[in-house]
Amino acid sequence: MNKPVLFILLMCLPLSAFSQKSPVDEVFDRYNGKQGFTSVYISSKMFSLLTRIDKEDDEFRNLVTRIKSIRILSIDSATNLTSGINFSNELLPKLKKTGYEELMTVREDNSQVQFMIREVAGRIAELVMITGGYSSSVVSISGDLDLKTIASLSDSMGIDELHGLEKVNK
Amino acid sequence: MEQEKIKTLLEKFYQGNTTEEEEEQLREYLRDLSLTGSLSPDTDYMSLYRGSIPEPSDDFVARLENITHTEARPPVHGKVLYFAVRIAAAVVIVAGLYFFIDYLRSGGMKDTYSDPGLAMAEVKNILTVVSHNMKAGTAPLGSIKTINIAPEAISPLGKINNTLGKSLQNLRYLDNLTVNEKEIRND
Repeated sequence: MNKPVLFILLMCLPLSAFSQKSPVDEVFDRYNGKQGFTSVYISSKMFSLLTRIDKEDDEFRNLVTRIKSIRILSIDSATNLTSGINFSNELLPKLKKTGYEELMTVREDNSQVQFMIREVAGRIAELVMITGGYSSSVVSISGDLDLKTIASLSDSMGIDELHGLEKVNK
Repeated sequence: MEQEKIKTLLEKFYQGNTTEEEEEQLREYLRDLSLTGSLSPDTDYMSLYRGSIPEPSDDFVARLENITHTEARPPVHGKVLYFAVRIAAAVVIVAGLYFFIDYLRSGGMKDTYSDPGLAMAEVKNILTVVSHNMKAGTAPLGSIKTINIAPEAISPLGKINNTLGKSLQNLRYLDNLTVNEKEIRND
């Protein structure tokens, strides 16, 4: 085989692994743009713009620089009741098989929130929040995430201090 | 007969083996007008050599070199450049693939907000929701502090347990004693 062709193929091998879609990608592909679903996507390009806007809040700016993208997919309550789609049931088994770890599950009244993380080289590369119950949604935040930074951000936003989060990493 | 001689000489001439005398002799033969037909092309060809071929001038070679000589680049530079171009092409292809795959990975999703201000509001909103839910999940972790304190509270019990353990070990000696008494009685 011609050497340059072989070289390009070798270079593409890691990309082929990279190109494999995660279960979160599949869910977004499946429901994005469909009736009864609302999706929001904020790209890395937009995040680079956000860092220029909020120059006063250093903490928020530091967090935003670490975030690569945010994707939100939510199902309208009416559609949720009739379709019987449950993001938790659909995603969780697949996420566990593809290297995502469960961070915590929060059950409140009729709703259930599950946090899944994907680690790359000891860093949290993706945080997935799956909300089940009456209003079902999936939030995927990717980048170089630090839970403590998210906790400190909530302070600046006027939310009660998240002291407990410091123990999550321990 | 003469024709055969001419053919022999011509053959020798085309092979480049004729002497100057033989060439002159050949020219004389070919000058004869009676020789036409099959030998006419040879007559034309030989006519070109009637005059003496001029010797090249002294600077002929130099002038020829000036026209034909092009500065040859060292082959190493060419190879390096060729290799660099190939690498650059490969990098461009791989980078293109990366962005293409990245686009596919995003599910072909485009930015929902074109206004950074609105995007900022959405980001703050969603991060607040995430933080709030995480807080709800981590609030019970405060109870872990109690577990850290608990072993210290239990430590006196541990001391009692150790004392009991030592006492029970001493009971083994009593077992040995009873065995020895049985042996004495049997004797």
